[in-house]
Amino acid sequence: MVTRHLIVTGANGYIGGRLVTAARARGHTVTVLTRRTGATSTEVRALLWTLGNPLPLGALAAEVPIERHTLIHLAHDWTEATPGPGEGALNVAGTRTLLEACRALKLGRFVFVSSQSARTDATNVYGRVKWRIEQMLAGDCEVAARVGLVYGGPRQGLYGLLSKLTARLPVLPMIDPSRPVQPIHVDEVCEGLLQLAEGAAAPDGWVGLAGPEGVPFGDVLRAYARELHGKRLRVLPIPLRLALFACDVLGRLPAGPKPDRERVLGLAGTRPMPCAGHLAAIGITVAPLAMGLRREAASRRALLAEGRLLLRYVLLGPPSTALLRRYVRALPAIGEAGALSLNRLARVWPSLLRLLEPIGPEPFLGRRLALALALVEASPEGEQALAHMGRAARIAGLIGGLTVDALLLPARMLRARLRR
Amino acid sequence: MTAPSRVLIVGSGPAGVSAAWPLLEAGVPVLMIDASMPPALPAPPVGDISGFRGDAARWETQFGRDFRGLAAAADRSPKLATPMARAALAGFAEANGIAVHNFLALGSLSRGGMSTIWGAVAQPYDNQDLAGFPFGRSALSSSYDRVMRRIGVSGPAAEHLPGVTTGPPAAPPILHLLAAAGTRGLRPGVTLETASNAVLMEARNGREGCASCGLCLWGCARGSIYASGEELPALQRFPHFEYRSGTRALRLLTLGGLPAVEVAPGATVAGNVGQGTIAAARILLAAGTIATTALVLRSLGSALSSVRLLTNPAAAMAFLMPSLIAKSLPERSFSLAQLAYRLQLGSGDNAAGMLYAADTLPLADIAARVPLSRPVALRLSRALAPALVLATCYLPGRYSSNTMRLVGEDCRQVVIEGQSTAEAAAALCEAGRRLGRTLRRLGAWALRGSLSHAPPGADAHYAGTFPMGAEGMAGSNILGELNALPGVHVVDGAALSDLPARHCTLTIMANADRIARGIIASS
Repeated sequence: MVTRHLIVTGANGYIGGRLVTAARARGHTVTVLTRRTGATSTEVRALLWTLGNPLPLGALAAEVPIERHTLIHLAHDWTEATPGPGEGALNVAGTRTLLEACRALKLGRFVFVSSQSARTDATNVYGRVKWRIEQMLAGDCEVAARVGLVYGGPRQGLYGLLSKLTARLPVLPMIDPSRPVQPIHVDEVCEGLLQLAEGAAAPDGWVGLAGPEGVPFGDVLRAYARELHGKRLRVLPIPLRLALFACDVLGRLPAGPKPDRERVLGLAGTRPMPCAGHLAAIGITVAPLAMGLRREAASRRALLAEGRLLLRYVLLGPPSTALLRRYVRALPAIGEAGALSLNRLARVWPSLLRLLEPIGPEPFLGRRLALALALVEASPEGEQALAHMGRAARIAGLIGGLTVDALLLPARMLRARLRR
Repeated sequence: MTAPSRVLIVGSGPAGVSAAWPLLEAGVPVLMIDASMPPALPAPPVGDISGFRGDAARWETQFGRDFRGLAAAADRSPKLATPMARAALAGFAEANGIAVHNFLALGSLSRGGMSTIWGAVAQPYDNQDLAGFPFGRSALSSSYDRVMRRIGVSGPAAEHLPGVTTGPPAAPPILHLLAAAGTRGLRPGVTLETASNAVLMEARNGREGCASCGLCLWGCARGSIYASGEELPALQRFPHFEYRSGTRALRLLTLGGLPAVEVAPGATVAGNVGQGTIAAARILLAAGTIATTALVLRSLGSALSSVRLLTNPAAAMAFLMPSLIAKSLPERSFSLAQLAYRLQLGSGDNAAGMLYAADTLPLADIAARVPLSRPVALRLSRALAPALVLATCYLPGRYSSNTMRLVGEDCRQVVIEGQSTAEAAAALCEAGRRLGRTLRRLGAWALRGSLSHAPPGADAHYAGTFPMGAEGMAGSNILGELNALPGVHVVDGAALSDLPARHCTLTIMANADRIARGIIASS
């Protein structure tokens, strides 16, 4: 791979920040155009710039040929949210200024970061403005990336808001939870953007960076609650009008989450975007949501919930807070990250794990149970549970335990075979 | 810097300390260097095993504050997972520029070397064991006695010495085996006796006698188990002894007709430029077989590219004494070797090993091998622990097939290649079957499928890279003086001419004592 010089706008945002790190890791040099300097690392050059300003000539790297320069435009001015004939004028004009500078200087690539909602008849201003900007792009060197529902990485952007809401609320009111969305991990988005920046072809003029399969939005929210916070979430369908009203009310409160009208409207107007062909063409694999979320550092609460269940199962009694905390602290030492998605019934009735416990070495539940066992044994309550009874009681308990294990063995073997 | 009459000892482990004593007592100036750096090893727990089991801070002793002990490999001794062992073993391969293929290279940069975490088995070699050596048992007998008196050995090996008592009381399953052996006798070709350990039974020289506290696995806070680092204060009372820590030997060379060592600060990795040279009348290499061999190979460069490394191919096995199942765990215990056995194989070779009680072992190690649900596996392990007997089994070094060789253009990296041979695997299986039949007769049942072969090097009995009496570059004379480097004596395991199926540490110490006396006599 030939390294390039990337000029990135919107590098302080959710995707932009991650993109700069990924670009540096691949050996590219980066200049970011930003409204505030100082937040970026010393290895990345930052130039003061606002949407509408001309492209600063200092953004170019003298040592890199101009055809190996790429401008990735992520910046978007969210203050332009009022619908009307002149909607999005600043975003459109600002992008045109950049685009014309790139054409004049003959930069190798211009990558515009657009949205799955980009349509001429989009329900929100954001989608319509993105559409209008896409229409300015021409030729093989100018491509748009229509990004789906992004999750993962730092809890920022819409992902940050949804993560916060699913953590706090037992019931989440949501418009049309059965509407399919196409989740994609932020690292997969960055990978796709870098492929485009490095010259991957986009025969349609745009590339869909989104999960190839639609997932009902309600399921996405429930997965966030389960995987990130270890809790169950109810999603309550509400009409769009009520949601917009709630946005207005919450927006006026001094504190608390601030859902954005534009984002709600964007979700309400999401339409399926076929993109499997695009992903294959640029060589990107998008993992299913549950697997992608497992890569995320689970919240302490999710790990505590998992620890409480597994320790209780092994100990046959409630674990102390100290033991529970130790479980969460020990996980990284055995190379484990993320919370397991455990059976709902087992959360209420830990003994059910006897039926679900894998046979033989198994990477997920098997390793966690081995950890729980080692920690239980080395705890005062574990010693108390093992030492308190006499020999007869110990033998009787063992015979009972072995009998139950023997009875459950066919079911466990069947489950193991089905899973294989 | 030179001091012509001075002897330089590289390493503060059992071999280095054993060589230092006779030299100092004869008035020879000694400089001892080792690569140890602060911080010191973690402090061992105090109290006893029954208190430890329910102690709220037990996890910290068992896994370490970083919980890294939880990530230990299952095919190694549980001892290697302890925070003490991890600290003692840390950085050894990197500092010595050693890479491995199919081999476990254990070594320590800490003061006292591997003796800080050793199993303390103290077995002298007999004439049969010494058949491959250029001298017989009589040449070593007085050295064995001196070393055993110095370090404090309990058990049959030291019974002929005045004031020596038997070792700590045996665990219940071991007592059963001994009683049965007394009444039913043993199969022909098998011997079984109480293990001899370097464990003091009565207080001496600042060390306390063993109180059967059962915490041996986590380190001996009483100092009853011998560790050579504890002898340094006694050596430092000699005015002509100097000890320099944080000093690692990089290369051997000749300076003004004297052997010399290029040294560097202890923490730097191999390949760094030396920061000084120490010359001496004689240099005694006691850094442990692997570090000593790496040092010599690097010094000889392309002249000697590869040497054979002996180890004892090893396996472990578990037995059960049914009458003790589900009894309460004993309040007092001793987790080092309790019985030593030896048996003859069909080939005429001997296999040997130690029997241990399992009542102080972490149950998680046992539970990991039980294919039941975790709550039942934990409770079953606890019920089996008082009835379990664990056996190690070692084969003679001739069954091993390992080499150490120099690699890289600058000849600074050393690679150890281990090989598990089919012959060794078959012999270990045969030994396992014979041991199973022997113990069955004494009332213990072998647990089916419990025989597990250790990877090459896991025994940590490394020896024989520069055997005494061997010709050529990869050999040394009867005093361990390298054929290739006059004035440089190997006094650790690297000089052993052969590696019988026995624990070799006591012999390494006695041989270091013998070599040091030989050097004094020859000058």
